[in-house]
Amino acid sequence: MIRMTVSLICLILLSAGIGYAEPTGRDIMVKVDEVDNSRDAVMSSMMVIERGNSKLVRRMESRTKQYGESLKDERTLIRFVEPADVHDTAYLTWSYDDPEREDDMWVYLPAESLVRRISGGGKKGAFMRSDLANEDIEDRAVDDDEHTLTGEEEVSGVACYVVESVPRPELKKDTNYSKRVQFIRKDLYLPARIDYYNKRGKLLKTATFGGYKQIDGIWTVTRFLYETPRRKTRTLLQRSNISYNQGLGDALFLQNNLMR
Amino acid sequence: MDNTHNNAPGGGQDNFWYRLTANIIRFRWLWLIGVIGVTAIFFSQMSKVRFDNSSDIWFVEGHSAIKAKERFDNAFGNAEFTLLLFTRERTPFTAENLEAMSSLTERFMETVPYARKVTWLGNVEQIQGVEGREQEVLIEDFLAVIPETRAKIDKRLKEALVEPELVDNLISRDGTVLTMLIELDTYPGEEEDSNPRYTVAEAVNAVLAEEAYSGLKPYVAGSPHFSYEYDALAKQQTSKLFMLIILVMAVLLLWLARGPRGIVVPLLITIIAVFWTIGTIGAIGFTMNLLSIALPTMLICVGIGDSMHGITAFHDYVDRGESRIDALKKAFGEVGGPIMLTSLTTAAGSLAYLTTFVKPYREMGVYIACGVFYAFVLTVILTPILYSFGKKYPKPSRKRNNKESAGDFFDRWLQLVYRVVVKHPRTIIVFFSTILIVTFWGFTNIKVESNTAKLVFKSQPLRQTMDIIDERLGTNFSLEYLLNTGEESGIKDPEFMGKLDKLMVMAEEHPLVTKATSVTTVLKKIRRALNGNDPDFYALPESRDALAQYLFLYESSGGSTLDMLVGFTYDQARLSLKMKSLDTYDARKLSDFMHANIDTLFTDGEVEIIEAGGMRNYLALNDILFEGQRNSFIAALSVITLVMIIVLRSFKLGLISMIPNVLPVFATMGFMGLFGFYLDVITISFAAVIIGVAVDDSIHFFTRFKSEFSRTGNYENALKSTLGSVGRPLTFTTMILVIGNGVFLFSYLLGFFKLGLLFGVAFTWALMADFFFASALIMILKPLGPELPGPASIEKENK
Repeated sequence: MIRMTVSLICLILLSAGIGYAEPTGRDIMVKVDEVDNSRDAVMSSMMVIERGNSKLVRRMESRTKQYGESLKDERTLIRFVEPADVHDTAYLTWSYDDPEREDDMWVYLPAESLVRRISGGGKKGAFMRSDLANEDIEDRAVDDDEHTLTGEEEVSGVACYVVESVPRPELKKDTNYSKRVQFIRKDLYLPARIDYYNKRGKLLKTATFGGYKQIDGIWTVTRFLYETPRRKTRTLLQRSNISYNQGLGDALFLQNNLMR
Repeated sequence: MDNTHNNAPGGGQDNFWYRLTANIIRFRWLWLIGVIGVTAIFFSQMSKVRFDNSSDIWFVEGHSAIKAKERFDNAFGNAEFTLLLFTRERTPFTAENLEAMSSLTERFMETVPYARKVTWLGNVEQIQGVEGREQEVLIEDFLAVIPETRAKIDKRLKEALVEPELVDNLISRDGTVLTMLIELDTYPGEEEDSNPRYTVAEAVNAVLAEEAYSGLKPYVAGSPHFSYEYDALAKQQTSKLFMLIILVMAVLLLWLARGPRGIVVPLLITIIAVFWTIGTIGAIGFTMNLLSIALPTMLICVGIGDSMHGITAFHDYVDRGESRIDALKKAFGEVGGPIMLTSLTTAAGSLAYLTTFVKPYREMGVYIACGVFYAFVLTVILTPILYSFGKKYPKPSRKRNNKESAGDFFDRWLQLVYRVVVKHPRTIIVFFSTILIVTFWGFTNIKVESNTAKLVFKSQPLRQTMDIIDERLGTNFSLEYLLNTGEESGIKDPEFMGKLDKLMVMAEEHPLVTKATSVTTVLKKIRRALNGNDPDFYALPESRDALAQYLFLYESSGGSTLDMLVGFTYDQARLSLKMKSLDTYDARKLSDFMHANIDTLFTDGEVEIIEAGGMRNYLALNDILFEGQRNSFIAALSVITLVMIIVLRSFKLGLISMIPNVLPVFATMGFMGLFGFYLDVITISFAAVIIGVAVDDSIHFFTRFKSEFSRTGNYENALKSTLGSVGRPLTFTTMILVIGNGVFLFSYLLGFFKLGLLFGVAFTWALMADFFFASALIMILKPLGPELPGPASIEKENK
């Protein structure tokens, strides 16, 4: 009898423990990944890159559509608006959730009326001379990193999980970072801040997120600020005219249609 | 030869120096404690001394070379890098070694502070069209996978040799050297890292010492390592030369001085003077540099003369039966003034370097002036104190007290000088005048070689690395051009790009240029790759939009290389030329060639063009060195001539006294100019020091001559007494200078080796000129007026 009671209590305690257990780092990142459950998205972006007193402005329009059974594959078309001399230059990427499969990419240069498929290419390079690396923009699969929940902390008065994401050993060569420390808002499962650490374990740059908006039922970050203190540079990325689930056609994401 | 102190006016019984010496001896413990206290203070400052071997140590602030470098760093980031060279003979290009190199790149990124990017043949990105598929472009690491067999490796390396941007950059054109380039971020401020170059060099060395990489044995080059190793070499040299000079001086003093005290006291005084000087450098926040290696050695050579004169005078008085204390007071009453004067003239010679724009010269000038002053102060204080202890009546010297004997070797030498001058004054004058005229002409033809890279002897690893870069890669030197259009997106103009490309092609065709790089190479290459590798498309895009879009494509495929080639807002572009070590003549020719081309291509003056890079600095250095040596020489000459005229109170005698001071400069440097030897950054600088030191001999010689003449009224007798009194210490100090500077012959730095030789020759000439040339001129010109009838003159007539 006593033994049974003890067992029962144990069971209750255990199940309670399971019920209220802290989520793991991976759990959190899966939830973050699931926030944007749209089938497609349209938006305009503006990027202001500052270095000392000089600045560059880039303006682009992008369309994204999800593919595959679990809607984890993604096709993106980015068309540049500004600066004027690259107006209409476009990139089309097909990215796959399967880590083994390389992304496909096409570029369109209007001045030469030329579309080319580009294969290979590093992810470590800076994205258009900004503080963002190409790898920061890509749709990163959750399991490209090992995520560990290291604690909770408030960022600008909002409660956040602190998740340390370390790239899987076989991917180390393709990244600039030894780890990223992500501050994920507990209420929205969107990042509030990400600290990027270089290969030497030193803080390299910081991304701060803002302008959270619920658009078509989806919580969206509309302002990003990337700062690299050592290089005295910063990049502000602002999204606008966002709309989701507009039923974008597949033809939009075919390389034949890049040259419109 | 008689001892002329017999009739000398007893050493200024009651002058300032006499009273000072009396005071010092009376309160000797207080003075001693004072000296120890000051020494302790300076000693505590010595640790603050910083060693500075940055590439721009040569230029004073505000020089155009520094401004140009700042412009470049601002536009294109930190230009410093670390370069590893793997030679086939030391690191066979096996799969195992290539794998190790591949993991080395990651390891560097993980451990080397400020490392921004590590590139080698393995991970350099290549953009090219795909064979058979015109619509596709492949961006890939050159050795995405390391081939497994030796044959496959060799095949791939051969393929690298046809890629122009890889050859002489990541692989030597004969395929025997592979390189690895560590690009660096802008260094942080001094408060965060006082010496970032050391930080980088030490981190790189630590990785290379790890077991996984110990088999690679690369040569390491680049500013951080060169600076690190130069400094280590310099520090080791400084202490080695310092120990050596002390040893040499001790041996010389053992021979020339009397008793152990004669060895210890001069050495102690000069060593303390060196400590005080280095402490001063630390306290005022100046830096030591490559030139400062010479400082301790030179200070000891120059400073030791002071105490030698004091001690010699002391012994002279002792020999005449004075008590220890009286002898000291009289000795310093007598030599205090001349020592001060010689110290002042040497300091003036050194301070003449303040007229130059060469930073290390200016600093060195201040240091030597400082050290000479300290040596003087310490001589005046410490010599009397240290000699005041002991028996009241020290034992006089037996040998020199015996007036009947012919004296020792030095006395016989001085008698010889006297006889030759009196018998053949005209022959002497003709001989020396010829040398003076011919070498003066040579002096005006001096050529300067400011290539500091080759200052080190070939036996040093530092030099071997440079030679390998020179022989196998031919990229030791760089010449950089910044082309500033002054407006955002200005370089996207096809006309501008066309001109830049033309300039680059012209440069590359120049036989002295190994490699020319600009953004146009990248553009042409991308365009060709996007057009199925068709060589017809290896040309610049023709429209502004096309240019912009290719740039944009390149920009979005990885910006860091772009940052090295174009300004952030596309307002400026860079053209880099790499070449072998060139001598000044060729370097100037190349620079002129580029300027001529720039002038024909960019006629409208709308584009601002700035020249920079290692070779530009070295040409600029050449100019300021040449100007610097001329200015310091003229300044030293003027100040010291003025001093001599005032001291001797005779315009004519003052001018004559300068002849023995300039002769050693002409006879050494002019000799080199005459025979076309180059003077390097170290040897060119010492004309003013030679004058400053040579003039000490002249001061002792001429002041004594003047007082002897006023006493005897006869030129020949005055000469005889002068040689008899100051001839001996002058010969001693010259020997000390010549043999002491001879320790530079043991330096690994070629410049100092030459300096040792030059100084030896110069100071020997200085003494010869005083003893023979000046004496002969006095005998003929009689600058002090007619001889007075007196016993001496009558005696002469009777002959």
